[in-house]
Amino acid sequence: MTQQPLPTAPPPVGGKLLDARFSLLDRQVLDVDGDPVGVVDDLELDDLAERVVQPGTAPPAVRNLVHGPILLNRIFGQRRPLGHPTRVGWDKLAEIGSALHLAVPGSTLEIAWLEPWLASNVIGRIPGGRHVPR
Amino acid sequence: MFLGDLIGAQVLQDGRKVGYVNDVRMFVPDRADGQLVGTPVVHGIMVCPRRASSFLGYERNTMTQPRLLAAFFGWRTRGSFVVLWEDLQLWSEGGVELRHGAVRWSTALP
Repeated sequence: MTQQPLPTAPPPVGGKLLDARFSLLDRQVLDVDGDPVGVVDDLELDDLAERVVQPGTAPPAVRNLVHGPILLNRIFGQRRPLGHPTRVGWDKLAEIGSALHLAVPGSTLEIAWLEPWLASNVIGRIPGGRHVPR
Repeated sequence: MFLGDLIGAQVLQDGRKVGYVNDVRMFVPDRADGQLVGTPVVHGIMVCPRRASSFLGYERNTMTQPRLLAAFFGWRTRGSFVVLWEDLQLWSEGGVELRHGAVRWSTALP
């Protein structure tokens, strides 16, 4: 038996709808200069006061883009260690596109610590690692 | 709460499993003063009767090409539906429960 197609929900007024997993997760994050600073590994939402959603409860909002080594958690379903991932506040976002564009330079973000650390502690110790290639 | 904890979580209704959270549909309002992008809020959840990967955009009305891929993803996510926030009764990392009589909407983006 063929099922009847479901109706489309009436769109909310103003703004736009997007699917978080499809449109936000795994997107590259670029800083105000267009330099990559990471990817969106997860999104942090508001915690509700209680698990039961009472009628009229305001829906949770997205507070932070989350970056960190949580791919294995997503694949295998383990709990991630609290406080391990780094966060970028949603208020620092300038544009949603094929990448997420921030309104701030990457140097101001906690998310960008890995590259400078690798440059000084790993790459810089390799002979010739402190020279800019010509 | 992290979005990643919700994706793949069980969805129950009247004590019976009806599927898994496949995606979370967000409403991005017009930006407020001091913002460049409005803060998204949960509009609803996309429920798939079986554990499936992302819809890869094929839930959108305009995505019908290539037909073979559209048919494949349509088949793989058959029976999926959207439930709006006001029809959710329980919201936690361990799973989501729908209210009795929750309205099931098409996964197509309006």
